[in-house]
Amino acid sequence: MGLSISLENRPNISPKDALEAKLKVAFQVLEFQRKYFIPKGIDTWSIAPLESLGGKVLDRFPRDSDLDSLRSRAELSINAAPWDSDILGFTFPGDWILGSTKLTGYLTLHNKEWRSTYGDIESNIYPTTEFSDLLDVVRTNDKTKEHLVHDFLKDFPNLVDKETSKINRIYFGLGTPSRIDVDSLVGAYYSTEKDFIRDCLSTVKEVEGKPVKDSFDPYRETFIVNGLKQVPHFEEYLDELFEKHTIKKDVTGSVALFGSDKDSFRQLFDEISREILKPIAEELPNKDIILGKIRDAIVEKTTKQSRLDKPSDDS
Amino acid sequence: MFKGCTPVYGKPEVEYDLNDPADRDKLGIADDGKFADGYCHFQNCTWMVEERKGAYHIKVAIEQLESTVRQLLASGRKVTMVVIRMKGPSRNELRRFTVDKKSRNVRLGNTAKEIRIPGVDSPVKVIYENDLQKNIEDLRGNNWVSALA
Repeated sequence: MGLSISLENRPNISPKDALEAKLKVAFQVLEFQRKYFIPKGIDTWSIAPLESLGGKVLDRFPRDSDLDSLRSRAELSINAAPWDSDILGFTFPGDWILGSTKLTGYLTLHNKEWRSTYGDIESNIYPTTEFSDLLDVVRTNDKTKEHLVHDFLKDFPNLVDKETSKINRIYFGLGTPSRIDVDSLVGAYYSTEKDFIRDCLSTVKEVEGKPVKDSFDPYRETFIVNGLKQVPHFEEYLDELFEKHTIKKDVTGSVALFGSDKDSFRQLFDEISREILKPIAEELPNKDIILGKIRDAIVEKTTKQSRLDKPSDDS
Repeated sequence: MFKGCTPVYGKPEVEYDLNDPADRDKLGIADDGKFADGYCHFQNCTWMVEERKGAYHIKVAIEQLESTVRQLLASGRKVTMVVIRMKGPSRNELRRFTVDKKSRNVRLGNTAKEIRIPGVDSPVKVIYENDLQKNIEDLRGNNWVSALA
């Protein structure tokens, strides 16, 4: 996936306004990446990004790299069928030029249905025999890595107009990183530090399987995360872990994390899982215990009640 | 590095390495980055397009297969089977796509609908590097079943 951006859901906003706000962020990404990614057109699609996945290409505008004309084309598509804004998506095919390497790639703005898998905005290369992911290429050049990963995570969220959109999470990782793949990241932005812990919790449930999932399932993630934040020195402990696993942390109200090594996030996650989340899972009363307590309480109550209700032989 | 099509039905009789510009030129496939890795013919008359994935990304693999198949069919070539060969499933995409353990057909999780590339009757199949031999046997077994049906 390379880059994946998720925006915060805004309540009470029309699908058309939501799509226009998302499009605005997509163009800001294109502006930010302009030195390295040259868009070569715009495809407007509905339902899904590919025909094989049930999608339909509504418009293909293949020849312009000028962002203003691409923006006008996208707005035209939205205004042509504003009632379909929930199912519309856009793909900007283009060329990544990173040093002497030129690769075909894309930036896709996903609709409501597909954002749950790939985020609201996704950007990557089409893999070649040499490079399987955008990150593989970015890593070969310190200057591009600095701009496209470090500066992007640190600065981009502040460039977005908070009146219309707010960045929730940004992931840089191999494949298709998401909230259940903390261990495959190389960089991330979270609007709050709690979101990072929440992602660790979602990942551990996937990685460790049923026993851990059953332990956490009865509890809301917010409850667990807030509980952890209330533990004295928890934040210092987390900062020590970031340092230990060579993850640089930038705090500006939100959190940007950059792994120095390919495995930094994996090692960090393994330690958080082993030292914090799994011990919690072992101590918490799990689903079966809680259900047992519910059953016992009701059985005891109903048994007492039936004893009281039962007419005695004397009456 | 692509080292030939996966020998699903034995060694391919005809094989094109689509990462090789000369092979792409022979088949009339555009150099737009959106092409699969191999196109080959087996003795049992199967014409297969194969995409190999180093990083997990089923959607991009399907996009590459879709683009390659469209160009092959447009130039009058046959495609009867499409395969994605990858390391293993990614946790995230497994919530969107499911792979049938026996047929190896990939389905859209929310609809259970098999994914088909336009112009190819057989659904897209996924095989994993970490269970390659068994997955190949499943593909062969499945083909015998359909041949007998």
